[in-house]
Amino acid sequence: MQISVYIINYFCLFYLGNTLGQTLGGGRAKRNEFLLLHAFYSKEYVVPEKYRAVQVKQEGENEDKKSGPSYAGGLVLDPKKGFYDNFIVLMDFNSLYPSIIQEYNVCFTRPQFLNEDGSPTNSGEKKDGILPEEIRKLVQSRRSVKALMKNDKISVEARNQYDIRQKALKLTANSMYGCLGFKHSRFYAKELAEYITGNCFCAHRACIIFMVWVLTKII
Amino acid sequence: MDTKTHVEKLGFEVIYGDTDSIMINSNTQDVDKVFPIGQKIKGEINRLYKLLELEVDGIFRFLLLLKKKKYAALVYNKKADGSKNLFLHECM
Repeated sequence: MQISVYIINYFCLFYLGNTLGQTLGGGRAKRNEFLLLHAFYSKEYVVPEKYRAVQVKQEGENEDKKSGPSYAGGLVLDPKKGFYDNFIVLMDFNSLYPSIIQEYNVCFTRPQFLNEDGSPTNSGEKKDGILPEEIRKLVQSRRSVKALMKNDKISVEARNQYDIRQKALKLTANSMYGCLGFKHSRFYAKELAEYITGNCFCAHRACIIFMVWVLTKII
Repeated sequence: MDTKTHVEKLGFEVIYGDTDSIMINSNTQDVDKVFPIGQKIKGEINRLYKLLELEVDGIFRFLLLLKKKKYAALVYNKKADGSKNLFLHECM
């Protein structure tokens, strides 16, 4: 267990480029912050000031004293309560938020808006923004690590190490969305976070519409 | 007409969904019919997107759905050697 933590941290240093102390002491938000800081710095962007705790507190007093995100989060459909003795198919989207960021090119450098019905507008921009590019790099690294794991000849220790590595990469990619919706994060961007969860609604809607289509064909 | 009532009219229902997952009543007790339904939905949905990927995460033999984020299910598990077993999955 202890060794695993060290290995995870080693890879955090390698991929994210923050210091060991920060990785050990700080949470996930800090790691993502550093990954983005490096990415923006290398492209010669000026990064935003760190949102101060005082500022957040003042704003918080003006708003309702509710905790949690102030925008609509992921969609939870109203359950149809009851006991089911038919087979139920459970389906889910693989890494939904990282995929949406890439699919719709969600980035600080790209203006993006939702239509009134919640569907995404197309920014028309072909080139990947910085955020989708960073996520793509993480996903690709994870894919190559997983390919290494498929080799039968590697030892159990090596396999475990690869496994930790791919988990660390997955965690980072998945938590990137979190640093957009988290108030105390340097890269807090409510609009982008809203855009991502808004797209999640659309994905669900596409699912439901499709099922209607399937049935009309089967029957 | 909204899509939900449309689905119900056809006798196929989305009974619950949370963020990235969706539960569909297959309306059948025949296990051989369930897998093709899942695969077909997966294939067609994934055609709509470049990167977004919908997958069949599991098959429930029975499901007790109480309210949002509260349910219990018996998961139907088919092993590689062809044998089957059920295990309990709770979200409470």
